[in-house]
Amino acid sequence: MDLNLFGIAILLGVYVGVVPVYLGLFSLPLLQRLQREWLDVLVCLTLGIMLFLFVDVAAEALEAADKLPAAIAVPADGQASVPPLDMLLYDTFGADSGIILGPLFMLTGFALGVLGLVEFGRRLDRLKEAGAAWGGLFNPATLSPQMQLALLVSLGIGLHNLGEGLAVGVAYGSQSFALATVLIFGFAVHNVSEGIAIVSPISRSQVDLRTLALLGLLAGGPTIIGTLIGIYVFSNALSIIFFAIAAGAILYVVIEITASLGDRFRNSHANYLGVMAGFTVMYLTSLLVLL
Amino acid sequence: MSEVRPGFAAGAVVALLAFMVITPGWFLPPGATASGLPLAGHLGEHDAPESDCGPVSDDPIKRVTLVAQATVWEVAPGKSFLAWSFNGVIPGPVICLREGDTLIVTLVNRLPTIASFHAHGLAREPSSDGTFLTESYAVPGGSYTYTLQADSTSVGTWAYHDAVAELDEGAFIDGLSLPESGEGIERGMFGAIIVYGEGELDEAGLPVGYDHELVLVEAEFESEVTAGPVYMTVNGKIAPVTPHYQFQAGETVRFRIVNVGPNANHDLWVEGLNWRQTQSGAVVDSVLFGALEFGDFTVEVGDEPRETRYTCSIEGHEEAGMHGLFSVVK
Repeated sequence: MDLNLFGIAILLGVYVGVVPVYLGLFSLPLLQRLQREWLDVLVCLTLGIMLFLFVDVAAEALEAADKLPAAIAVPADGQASVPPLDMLLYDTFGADSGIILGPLFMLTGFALGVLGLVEFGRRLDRLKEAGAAWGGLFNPATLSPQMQLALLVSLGIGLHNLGEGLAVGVAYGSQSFALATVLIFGFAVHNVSEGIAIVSPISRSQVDLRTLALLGLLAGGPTIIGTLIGIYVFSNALSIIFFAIAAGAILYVVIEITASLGDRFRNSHANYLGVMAGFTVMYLTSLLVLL
Repeated sequence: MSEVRPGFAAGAVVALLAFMVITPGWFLPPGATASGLPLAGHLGEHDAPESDCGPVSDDPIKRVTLVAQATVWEVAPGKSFLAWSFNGVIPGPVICLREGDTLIVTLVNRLPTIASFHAHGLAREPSSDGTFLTESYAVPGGSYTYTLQADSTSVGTWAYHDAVAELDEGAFIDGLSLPESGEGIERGMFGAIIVYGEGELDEAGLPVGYDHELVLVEAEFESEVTAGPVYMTVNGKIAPVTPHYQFQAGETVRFRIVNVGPNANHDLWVEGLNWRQTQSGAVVDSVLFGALEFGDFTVEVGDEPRETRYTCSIEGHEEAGMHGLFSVVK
């Protein structure tokens, strides 16, 4: 069965982002069987995973910003193609503008990511105080701190996966991506941990299927959007902003998780081992992904 | 609302895993793997000559962006290895110029080692030489811009390749090293350059006097690179997925042949076919090139339809994949 490029873009996102996240989410019943003392360690595991994602996506953002001068200084000429959006920057601001625009996009995106989530968190808190009903699913009035954490983790991972989808889409579109099943498998293993990161904070909570489905969609769905953008409207400048927003958002999530643990975190071997375990798993599985 | 029960979760995991393992084969086209240049002779009717260059623009400044990157390269279905490439394809994109052109190459380096663009046949300043001693290379994550000129001595067939990439960069400390490293070529960082002289292109930028003009790049990949058998490749592929050259009876074909080595000699032999060296007119019955030798040859495919093969007759090379189909049809 042959699919057109659009179909393939969506499927790539599903394979790379959506399915793996759900695989991780369904570890919930397993996590729920762990003893109560493990909750903090699991949250620390999430922290380690988010830390890795921060390093990963921040490096992508910095690299993309570094590359911008080269990316927009080369006008298209049959053999080299410059994406239309970048061409627009070239036409508007000139060939050398990348030196300034790169860092500018980087910092702007980063600020958007951090401040955007701070604002999101504040609104959530205000809604909670007001006791507002907000649809059936994430009712702020009844949103437990754990569920709130899981929601933020999902959001951060979703932004990260938007960038990851972008990379996959670009690679596929430019044919530089050997679309072997083994690579899809690598991504899958890597992203399963993301699902685990989301459910770890709520392993002691009552979680229904609809909530789980929504958390998964929030974290995995953006991968599809990313692959579509990567294939159809890729731009070097846009990718800096995406990666930088993700970096900012994840930094916020990392700090929130740490704050939620409070004093219990300090000098606890188990908790730090949890952080390291999360980071290590993400690092090792990332080696399976050659992009 | 109900809790997520363990049985349900286990079932969902099994279903999702099955989806991941089984369905990619259904949905994703087999051609979805990275592919090299679309070099496969010419099938069917055609009015304009077929050229791997396509129409060559008359803009005297040609810009090319090359991305040095790690690539899982499939030499044949099911046979892949971790290669280094320019732009994810082996060989890298063919660079086509006219005499008098200026070539500006932006090399973006996504490898964990320094990388460079080193061209044969084109004039340049030392700063565009792409060698270690001239420090004209892109650092990991960085880029470097090369400016070269195609002058009157440049007309012909050439190659470009990396000349500095080296995983063990200790070899380069303090300039005590060799001026060049062959590791980039060994791992797949090479491509062809074609420079057209006056009168070789028509108004549309297509070759005059030929029905086909094809680039054929020979290269070997050693076991240290493939972590498996030695591959002797034509345009980055081994048999049975090397180019299938198919021509119509009576056609004239110009082969741009590049042996990038990095070490071995390769020859090219088709039963009953004469290869006329385009510039000198010398005729040979097989084209033998040492590593990093290049040239172009004109071939009359003959009037009789036939189905034969092209091979490298050097011992062991055909077995390692260096052969393919050569057909002449009515």
